[in-house]
Amino acid sequence: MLEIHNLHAVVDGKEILKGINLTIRNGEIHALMGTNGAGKSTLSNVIVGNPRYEVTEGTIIFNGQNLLAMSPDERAHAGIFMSFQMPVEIPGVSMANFMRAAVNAQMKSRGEEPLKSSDFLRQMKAKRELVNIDQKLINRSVNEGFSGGEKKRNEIFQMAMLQPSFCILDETDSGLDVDALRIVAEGFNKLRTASTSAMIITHYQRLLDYIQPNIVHVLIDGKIVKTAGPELAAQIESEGFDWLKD
Amino acid sequence: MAEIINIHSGEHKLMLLRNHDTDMEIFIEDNASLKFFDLANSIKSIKSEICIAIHFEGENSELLMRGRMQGKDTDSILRNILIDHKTPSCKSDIYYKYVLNDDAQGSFTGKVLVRQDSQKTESLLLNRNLCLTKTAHMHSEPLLEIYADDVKCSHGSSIGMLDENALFYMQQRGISLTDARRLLIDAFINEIQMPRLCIK
Repeated sequence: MLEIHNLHAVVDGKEILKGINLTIRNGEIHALMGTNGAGKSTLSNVIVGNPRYEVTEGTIIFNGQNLLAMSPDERAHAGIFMSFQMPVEIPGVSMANFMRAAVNAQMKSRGEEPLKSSDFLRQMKAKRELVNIDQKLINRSVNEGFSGGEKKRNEIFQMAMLQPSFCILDETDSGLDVDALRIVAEGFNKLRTASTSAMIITHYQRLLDYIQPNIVHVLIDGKIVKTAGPELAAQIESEGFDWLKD
Repeated sequence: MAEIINIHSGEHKLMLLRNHDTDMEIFIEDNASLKFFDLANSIKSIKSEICIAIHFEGENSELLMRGRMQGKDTDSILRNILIDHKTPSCKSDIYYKYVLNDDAQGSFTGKVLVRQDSQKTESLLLNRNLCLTKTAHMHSEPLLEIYADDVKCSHGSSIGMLDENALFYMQQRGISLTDARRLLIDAFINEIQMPRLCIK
């Protein structure tokens, strides 16, 4: 369970988050919508501990742990995963080596022995088939030369390998055509368990047609101004955000 | 005193091991192929500062030159390289990479000289560098001096630090900062493979 209380954060000296309160229980899917620059990506980056973002006030508790005191890799080990809005290309680092370092670090954090190469490769293959990602992509450097859709699918593949309990999908729908969006969303739905919770950041209803949220929040100017059920997303789709700006 | 080496026709391999401290002058004759590997790798403190001049004296010869330079602490790694194309139809391909940590200093000056008679020369001169700290210093100066008009030559240089976005991306997947840095550094330097590392 994720509990955010009175969260304030600054980026490059500018206050972006101005007192966020949010609780996401196990198994819940929350959608976070809002105008450009409202602070949606800032919130997700703060949760995962991106050092570019500075928290000036407030707390984030994840399954009883003080998240803000943990390094980004410790947060990942605790079960937090973010599908990046713009996944980073890492030339020279193969997907296999990258994934192996990530999986082994996670196992080490649990006090388990690292996987044998053969077991690791078998796991890669199984997950690759599950999310329908091409072997060719796995043989390349991380995200290097991947199309927009391939990058997003690769994020879901990594999610499959790491099996997080809380996922942030940061504008996973941006830059995807309808078919790619469906494949990515179906991948997410396949991986989800009854206790997986998620925060889905999006501008549009489209993604929420595939991944149905329990709760929808609207973020404007660093604050959550409205929280309601899935019908709120449909209302925003037809009426925009203007009626919420007061 | 510089060490003088003559390269006759046929295939040759030369490798400079760590802490080599003698200047070199190499003469390449007709129909020769030279693969030259230059390795500076700090185990103890090193000062490796050398000049290497390579002269093409014959036609239809090739030079492949690779440098893998890694310095830390107060290491100083300097390469002053002259590739002298005196004769036609030769190829040179020079690629040096440096990784500098702590207060290490690196310098790469590479000059490809293509003289008037050396038509059909092909040359590529590249130097890429990674500074791991703000106190590491790199000086890079790739130069082309061309007097022939039917040649294909290019040069390039870059100096950068580790990509913060890539480091964070890896950390978000659970990889520690130390391991993430190691992966990025290896990815950078392993583009330059020494022969003993690529047994095929």
